[in-house]
Amino acid sequence: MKVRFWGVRGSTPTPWSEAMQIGGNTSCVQLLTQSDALIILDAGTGLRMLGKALIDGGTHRQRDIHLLLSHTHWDHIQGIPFFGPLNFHDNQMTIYGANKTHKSLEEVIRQQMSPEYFPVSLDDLPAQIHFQALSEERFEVAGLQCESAAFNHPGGVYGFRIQGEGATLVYATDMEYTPESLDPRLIAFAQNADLLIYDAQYTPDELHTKSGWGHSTYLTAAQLAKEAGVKQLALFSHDPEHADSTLREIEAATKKYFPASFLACEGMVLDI
Amino acid sequence: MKVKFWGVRGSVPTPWKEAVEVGGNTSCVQVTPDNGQLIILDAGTGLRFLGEHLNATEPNPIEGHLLLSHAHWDHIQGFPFFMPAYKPGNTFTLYGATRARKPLEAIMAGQMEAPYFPIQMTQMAARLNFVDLEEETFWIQDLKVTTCSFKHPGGVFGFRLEQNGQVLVFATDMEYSADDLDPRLIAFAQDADLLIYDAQYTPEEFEQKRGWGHSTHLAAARLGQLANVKRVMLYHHDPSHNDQMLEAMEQEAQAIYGPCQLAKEGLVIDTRTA
Ligand SMILES: [Zn+2]
Ligand SMILES: [Zn+2]
Ligand SMILES: [Zn+2]
Repeated sequence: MKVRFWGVRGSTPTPWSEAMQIGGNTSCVQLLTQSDALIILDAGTGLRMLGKALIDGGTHRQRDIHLLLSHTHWDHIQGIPFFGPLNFHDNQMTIYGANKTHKSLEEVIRQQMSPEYFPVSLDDLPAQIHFQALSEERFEVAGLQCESAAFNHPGGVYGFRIQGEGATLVYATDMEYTPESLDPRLIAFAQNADLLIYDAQYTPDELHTKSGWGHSTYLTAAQLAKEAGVKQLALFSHDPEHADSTLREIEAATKKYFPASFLACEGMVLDI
Repeated sequence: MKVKFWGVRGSVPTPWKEAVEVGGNTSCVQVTPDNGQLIILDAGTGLRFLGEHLNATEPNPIEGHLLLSHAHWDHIQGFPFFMPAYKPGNTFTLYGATRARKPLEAIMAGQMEAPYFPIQMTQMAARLNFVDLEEETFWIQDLKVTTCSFKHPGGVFGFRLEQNGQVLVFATDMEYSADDLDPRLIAFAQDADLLIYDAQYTPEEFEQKRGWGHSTHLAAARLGQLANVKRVMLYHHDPSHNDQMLEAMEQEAQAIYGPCQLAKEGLVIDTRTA
């Protein structure tokens, strides 16, 4: 199994000359397996670039697309209206995510494209789009064994543990824990993963002023990686105010606690 | 009037190495009239950077006026990240329209509702006022503002700002080609010192994307020429156009009407020297 990072930024897309090395597109990670299916985690603006790459490479027709959404904050869904393959009728996409108490997953995604906010509606898109409501459960996607579990984030968030082709990936972004308050369920969820992709949005100073916003620090990421015994840690969901230089410092600081850690960067491909 | 471009991109923010020169933030323009008021046109992601700048430079409290052409994402998505709106003591008045039967306040609050955003608009500690506009003329102190509706899915306002004989026209997100310009639009832009106009598409893209609500750089040039505008800013650049392509479009526009120029992030222009 390989992983490709199309968007690594948290909160809001960050077109900023000082952030171009790490990348400014919001959350989107592609899993590359032996299957022909497209498997995608989150649909931030990185999804637009993934769609563009498929179209440029001529591999954008008759695709079976699986999109797993950790949650539906803007930075995790805002790429959907700009995902080029949805303009072709012979593609089909299944979107997996949580139904909310007052709104189904479908309504949440549909409302992003309602007329006051967007010129084109979901029904205008020629591709077949299906919705698959998730609870905390085990399920299969294109031959991969997946597990969803809920963690601490305003409005809720799912982490995903994905196993297949002899590798285990844990995708756990947008969750608020400190090294002292790590949820034992999260440690168990990430146990022995080959790659852990974890929310490292804040520095400890920033967490002081932004507690309750739903994000962790790089120190939490390192502590979790250590306690769960993961092989590699990818720091993810970079803060829009962090320039490349700040992020490189964060990476160096994390390595002191957990050497096998690195910054997730746009365009990076990793064989796990 | 002094004009500063904080976001010049259309449709979706574009963090892209090949587009750094022109800029990837979505629609946001700061206008500083002679009396120093804070006037902001549109609230795309450029607004986040303007907010950082205001927090660093402006003595509190800040009073500002945000004029919204319409409420498509690329024109409002910076507002939840506009830090001055979280500071008690600041006051912002937002002007826009009821769209799809939703009043402006409901549209802006809807952007920050669960499950889309972790913080509600009611948690913004600044005082927020909302003004639903029709086609009308109103005043913000001695700045005269005229609104007019043009062709865009869901509707859009152009804004004509006038003060001390200076005229700025902001007309983005509207679908006209160089040979079917609306006479109302030409009249609206008449004799402006500065016209900021939607130049998203090439003519080929315009044909493919009829109904999506955008013009071409050639329409921008032609409008500037017919309306006798002093300077035309090509605005609302397509996310798929890199710097090189935009420079080529600028040259094509200039071949039709000399005083055309690309709006770039960070660019400052005084209407008096336009
Ligand atoms: Zn979130
Ligand atoms: Zn727009
Ligand atoms: Zn629009």
